[in-house]
Amino acid sequence: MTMRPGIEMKIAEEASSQRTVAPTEEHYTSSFEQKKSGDEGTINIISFFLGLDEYAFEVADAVEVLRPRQVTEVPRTPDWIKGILCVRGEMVPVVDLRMRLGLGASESRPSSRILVVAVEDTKAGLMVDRLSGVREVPQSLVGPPEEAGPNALFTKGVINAGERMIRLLDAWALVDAEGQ
Amino acid sequence: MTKIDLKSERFREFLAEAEDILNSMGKGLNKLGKGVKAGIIDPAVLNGIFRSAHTLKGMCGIFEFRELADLSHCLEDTLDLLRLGRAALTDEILYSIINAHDLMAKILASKGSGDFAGEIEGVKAGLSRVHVKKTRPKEEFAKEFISVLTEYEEHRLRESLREGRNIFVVNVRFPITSFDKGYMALTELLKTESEVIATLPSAKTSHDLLFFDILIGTSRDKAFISGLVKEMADPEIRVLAEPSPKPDREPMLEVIKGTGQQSSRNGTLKRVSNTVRVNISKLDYIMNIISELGILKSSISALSTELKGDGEFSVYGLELSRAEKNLERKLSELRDSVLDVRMVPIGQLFGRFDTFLGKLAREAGKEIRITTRGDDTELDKLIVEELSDPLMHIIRNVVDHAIEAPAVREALGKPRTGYIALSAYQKGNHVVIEVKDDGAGIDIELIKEKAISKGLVESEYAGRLSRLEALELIFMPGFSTVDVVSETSGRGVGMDVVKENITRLSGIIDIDTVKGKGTRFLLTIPITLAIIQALIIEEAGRRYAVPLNSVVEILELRPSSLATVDAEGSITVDGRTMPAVRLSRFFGYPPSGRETAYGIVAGLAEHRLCLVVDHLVEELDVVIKPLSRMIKVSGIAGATDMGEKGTLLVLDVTGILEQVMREKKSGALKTAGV
Repeated sequence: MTMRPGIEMKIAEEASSQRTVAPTEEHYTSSFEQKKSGDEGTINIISFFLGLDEYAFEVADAVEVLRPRQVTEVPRTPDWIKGILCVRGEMVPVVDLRMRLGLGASESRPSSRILVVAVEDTKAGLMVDRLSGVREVPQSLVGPPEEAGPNALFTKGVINAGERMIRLLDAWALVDAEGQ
Repeated sequence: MTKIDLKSERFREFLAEAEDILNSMGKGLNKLGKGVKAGIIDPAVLNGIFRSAHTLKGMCGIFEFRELADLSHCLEDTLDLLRLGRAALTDEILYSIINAHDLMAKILASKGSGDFAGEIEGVKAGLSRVHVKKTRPKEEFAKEFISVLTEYEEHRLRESLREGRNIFVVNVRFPITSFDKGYMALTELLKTESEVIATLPSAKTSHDLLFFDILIGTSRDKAFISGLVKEMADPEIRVLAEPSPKPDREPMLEVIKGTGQQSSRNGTLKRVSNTVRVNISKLDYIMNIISELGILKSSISALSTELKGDGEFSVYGLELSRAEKNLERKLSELRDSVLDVRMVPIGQLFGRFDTFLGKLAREAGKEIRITTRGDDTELDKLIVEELSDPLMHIIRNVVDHAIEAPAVREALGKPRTGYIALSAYQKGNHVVIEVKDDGAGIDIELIKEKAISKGLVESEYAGRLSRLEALELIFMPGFSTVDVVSETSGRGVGMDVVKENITRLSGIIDIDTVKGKGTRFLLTIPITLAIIQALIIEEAGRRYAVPLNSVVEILELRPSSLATVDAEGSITVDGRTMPAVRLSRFFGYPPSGRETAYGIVAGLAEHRLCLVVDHLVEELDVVIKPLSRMIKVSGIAGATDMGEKGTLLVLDVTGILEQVMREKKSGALKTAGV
């Protein structure tokens, strides 16, 4: 796997800082800005954990990272919609990603974050257990999605990063098909 | 299709501007249509339409909006022939022009997607059917001017003479530094009493003055025009031609010298129009700030109450409370004035239907006239836009289904020409829009039969439906009384879409119909959705905002009080029975089980609902924001951000009312549940 040294170092830093304090929201949000477009043949991803499994979105789909906060419950909505949150004057639904992917309800923990993704004008806040990092991945490592499984509907590929396997999620499917 | 960057700011501006141009073109076409009927064609109106087409062509060219550019080019050509008097404006041509205008609006609305090639060809063919008259040989007349006039100007000059008007040359000079303002003001003034045929730079020169010859045609005499413009520019007026009692008399020429000094002292040189175009999202931003200020104000209010109760600081508490009252007054002034900025007269919308109806009636082979009333009733700009589709749909339905063919009407003893009256008036915080026709009325029995045959309702229940309930059937998806799909209505969308659109605006539709006499649709719509006064309530431990504009009264419900909710879920207040619903039950939460509660009687138009809740908290101005596209819940209009106090859901009383009614009726109707 080929990564540019600078980025590798940054991820290493992030990994070490993870042990002590969680990275700040600004830290990730500003790295989105730098990484919107990858070089040819690579994609930029932001990866995170749900339990022991690692998942990712393309950085282009991500808007910002928020610390967990009080959401307002909305009645008569599916279980996986936890409620709404006002983010910079806009109402954003918060989705329990684990539940949406059929992995059971998530528990709140100190490392929990809300990752806001956007598809065109529609935003959604996705609850994740722990953020892992922003990195550049060669397109060649991205394989086709698993054909079966609870979250097959929402994955658009699988990244084989050495020993780790990262499922690349489809923001369109998560934001667009939801609630319909 | 041309590739267009839909997101770019410039493209959005283009769309907005193009829309404005089409709107003004539509207004012009209205006037022109009336003129054609009356036999008087106002050249200024025709020229205005031509200019609109011309401007649009240029703009579309810049944005590579080829379809629209192509069409406006064609339209411009036809209009050019008409304004030059080289072709006669017939009914057919007017119809083609209206068609072209409508198609352009459609293309614009599609924002560049969609394929209109077929329709464009059709419209272009219509436009090309203009008959070109033979040009008259040029007469020897006022050579000094004719030689420099454009074909259009020359045509107007001849027309003015033919109509027996005086032709004057107003010679003016303006300081070189401010000639544009002076010129604008002067021509605006002249236009009130004359037609400005041409403006020609004069041969005279001076280092700091510009000279113009303004050629005008007027039915006033020279003294009058002199008087009119004396204040402004004190110009020199020359009579170029005056109509004579005998048509073959030589044109008379006369020159009058004046002092010629532009006056800038009397302050009339201002531009007539002082408007600024504002993106509505900027106004939304101001609204947000106002609502945040409101929340801040309520924390100041809480602080002052606390201070007043404190012996040592009670004086400061009083002072603070007085200051807070002033703040409140100013805030509400601010809110009202920002709301006022968003308001537009509904006449903007009504005007569009005038042209639209002419076209529809023609296509349906019917004769219909339309009248509008209350054009200056004001509504939020966004609401006016949202009303356009539902109203258009209602009118389509009226033209297709309600108004009878002329022969049928005559046989029934009605006037040949059908009649549609659009009116609007304000009623409290709402605007009522009425669409009334003198057509066939709605046949309740026919409605029931159709609903049964389409499987929307079981025949055994249909008999039990009340008159109003049966009328509601026309709003059900899949309902249409005409089996043949006409070109205008019946394209798979029906009155259900109308209902949905109106409900989304927190509005309500009522129908009133008399068989054989006509139908009245009443739309009751809130004036604005941008910022509203809300009552904050608490139910089962959760807080919500209820728009105050839909609250009729508030009842305190004790176990012993007369107003109690019966087993059927109804409550009787002052002899009037209405459905009552516990909010927690409506939303599917366990109720708190408190004994005392409050009944919020909400109403829209003639409908009432009693919403039972635990507590009343406070009144606040709130800005409603839509919930995400991902969440659609009936009974919730949106949410409002309360800063540190979190986010509150705003209830949609109409939605709750309709849902409750629907659930009550669900035994009778099979598919109504959404």
